[in-house]
Amino acid sequence: MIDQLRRRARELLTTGEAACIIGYANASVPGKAAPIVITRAEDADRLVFHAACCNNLAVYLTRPEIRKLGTVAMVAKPADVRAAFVLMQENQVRPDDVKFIAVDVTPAGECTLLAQRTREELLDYLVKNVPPAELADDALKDVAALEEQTDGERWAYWQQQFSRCIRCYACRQVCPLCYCSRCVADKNRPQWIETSAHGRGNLAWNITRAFHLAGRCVGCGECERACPAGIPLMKLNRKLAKDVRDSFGVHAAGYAFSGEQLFAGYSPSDPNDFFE
Amino acid sequence: MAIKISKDNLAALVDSLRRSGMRVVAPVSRTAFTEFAEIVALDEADFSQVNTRSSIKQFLFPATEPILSYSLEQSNVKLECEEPPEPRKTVIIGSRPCDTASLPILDKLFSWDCEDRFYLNRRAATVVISIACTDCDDCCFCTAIGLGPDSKQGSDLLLVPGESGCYNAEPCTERGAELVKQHEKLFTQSAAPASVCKAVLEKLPKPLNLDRIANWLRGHFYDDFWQAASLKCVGCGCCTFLCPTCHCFDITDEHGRYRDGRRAGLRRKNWDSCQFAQFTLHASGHNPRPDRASRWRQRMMHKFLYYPERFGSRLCTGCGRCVRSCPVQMDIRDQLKAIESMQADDEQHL
Amino acid sequence: MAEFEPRIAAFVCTWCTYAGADLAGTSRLQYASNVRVIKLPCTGRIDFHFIIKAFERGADAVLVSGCHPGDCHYTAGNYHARRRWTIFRKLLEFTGIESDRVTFAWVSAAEGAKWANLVNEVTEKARKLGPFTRYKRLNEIAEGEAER
Repeated sequence: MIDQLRRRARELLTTGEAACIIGYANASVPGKAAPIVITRAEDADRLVFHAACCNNLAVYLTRPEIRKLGTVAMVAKPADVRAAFVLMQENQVRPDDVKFIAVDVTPAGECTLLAQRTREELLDYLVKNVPPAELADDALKDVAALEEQTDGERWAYWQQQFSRCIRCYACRQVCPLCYCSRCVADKNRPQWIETSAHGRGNLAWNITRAFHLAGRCVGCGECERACPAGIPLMKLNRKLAKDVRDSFGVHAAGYAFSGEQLFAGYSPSDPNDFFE
Repeated sequence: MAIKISKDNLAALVDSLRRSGMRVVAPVSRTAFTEFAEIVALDEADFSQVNTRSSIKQFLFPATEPILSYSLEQSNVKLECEEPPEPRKTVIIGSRPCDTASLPILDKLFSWDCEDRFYLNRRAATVVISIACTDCDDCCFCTAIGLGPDSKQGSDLLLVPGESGCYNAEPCTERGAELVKQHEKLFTQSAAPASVCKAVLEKLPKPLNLDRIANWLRGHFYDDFWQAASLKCVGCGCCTFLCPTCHCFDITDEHGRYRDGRRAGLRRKNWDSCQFAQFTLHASGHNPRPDRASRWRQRMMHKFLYYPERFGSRLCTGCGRCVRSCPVQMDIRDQLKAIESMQADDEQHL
Repeated sequence: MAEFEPRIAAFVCTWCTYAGADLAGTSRLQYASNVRVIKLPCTGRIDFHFIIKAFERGADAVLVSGCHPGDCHYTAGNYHARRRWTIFRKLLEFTGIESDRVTFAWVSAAEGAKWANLVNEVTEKARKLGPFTRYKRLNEIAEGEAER
């Protein structure tokens, strides 16, 4: 599989179809993998793909340093493809500027290079083969468990979690969909979100991060993995994904690369029951 | 004559310190992660981990702290200049030598051009009992930076795990000696300790030539290396916030609610990171460090050139947290090695 | 002991609810004085940060109100807002903020009486819940009063 992947990467670079490849290479720490950007065909042999390749590489599609390089080909797991699709849908990335070297892991744990290359083919693959991980029944169990608690218990739970937040913004920086050139958390006139890592500032920040991803999060889990404080951020993301599905009957984000996004649109028949 | 303390007596030491009104802080594993926290008894502490996720920096230089408060009466600002609060007398037990070594580094910085009493008062009220390492992980690199698993820098008392659960104790400062003297009964005489750190030393990396690295940095402010080295960086603050030596902060005013009928607020000192785009953003909109390359360069330059030039030691203790926690596996060790060999090449061609 | 008087922030649109509140006033309707009205162009302009900020400034409850669906002065601002609130209120609940602390309503320019009743109801709900001590505790810590 890895030979095929490298061959494809080499081909894209030699033919000039792509100016750079964003993929994974083995990291210096044994057993870990790190993102790598290569621009020369001879570096294609450094590319790898295995279970430790966890980063969502779509995060690089909107980075100015990467954009400068030209057309990007990315090694993309289903979650990465979904994130790239949302970026296309939100007009952050021109569809023709991204080529996919799509990969997936079979239920048996085997890494494969997908034959699908175009976004239409990949969309079809996602719809047929990749149910949204963030909405899996198992994944929603811990959300349901928390929902059943009293508000006092939920408050205590999240206060304890958020109290560890040090505001390093790793959750934001690794998220492919947190692409704002200036985040609301970085604005100080007026300052909507206090930068201090106290309970009040941390609550405002964590609510904001979660809500700004409602209907957009592709469930890759990078925020939670990156968090050095171990805050279960995916619990918030899954809760929102579930509520979006239940309230608006829409499919999870990243299963379309064009068309209207959840909060850019509306329907006169949206839920109205909570209005006095 | 060397001295040692048994595990039971260490527990008694904790009890005694707490009885005397001190806060005792140690690594605990209350969640999936080991972190420093206040303990009431030694059995809560977990010394088995290679290191804690965040460093002891937080007890001397917290992530956020108020430095003054103010209130407004019409257009008059009334300053309520807060003296730094009286710090809690604290004993940190089980700090790793790499963490402890950050204290002399921070001391120099915070007592440099202006005395930061918020830090210095806490520092004066803190006693650090380090425990030497008998193990390391894939990210540890203290030896590359000239330290080691039983370095004494910053420690008041260094404990080296010895036979049958005893710790060989070595007072490193007057404060440490004083502490031992006050609890004389808990310490016993010991034969000269055999170092248990030998085994771990073999697993740790070789020393880097830090002068060579500084020499390269001095001549390569503008270099393609920085672009290549930082391309995958996503620009979060993990490395800086978890680093025991990173000390940059931001000052921010937070307007609060009305107090005694007047609009009031608080000025805070919050951790800041040179990896954030806003770190150097001017009010004019100009940003002298406009891209990741220049921000990453700053981190390397500050740690291995600017700080050493001013203070004589490196702004790094090799604790490995930046490697361990980086979401994209940036590895400062690789970069230092690359810089060292580039300089070696340069020197050869002279 | 005096009865607890909640402080309530109301974010209302200028075209319908504000006019409705105005009508309540000109009609000399009596209603609870616990609400501080903040007028905005449209419910679509009411960012969720406003609600958080209200709690940070000591509000015990928040009221959000605008034109009935279909009546928006800007055609669809309230539809967009409704979609956001549908999800946001559940997020607030999930983080432990009682749902009765935030009330959403549609009040037209003709519904002065509805406004007066609404304010009474919201005040009553907030009174029952009592002071928002959870958030006030965060405020005290952030404002250094916990140490004072």
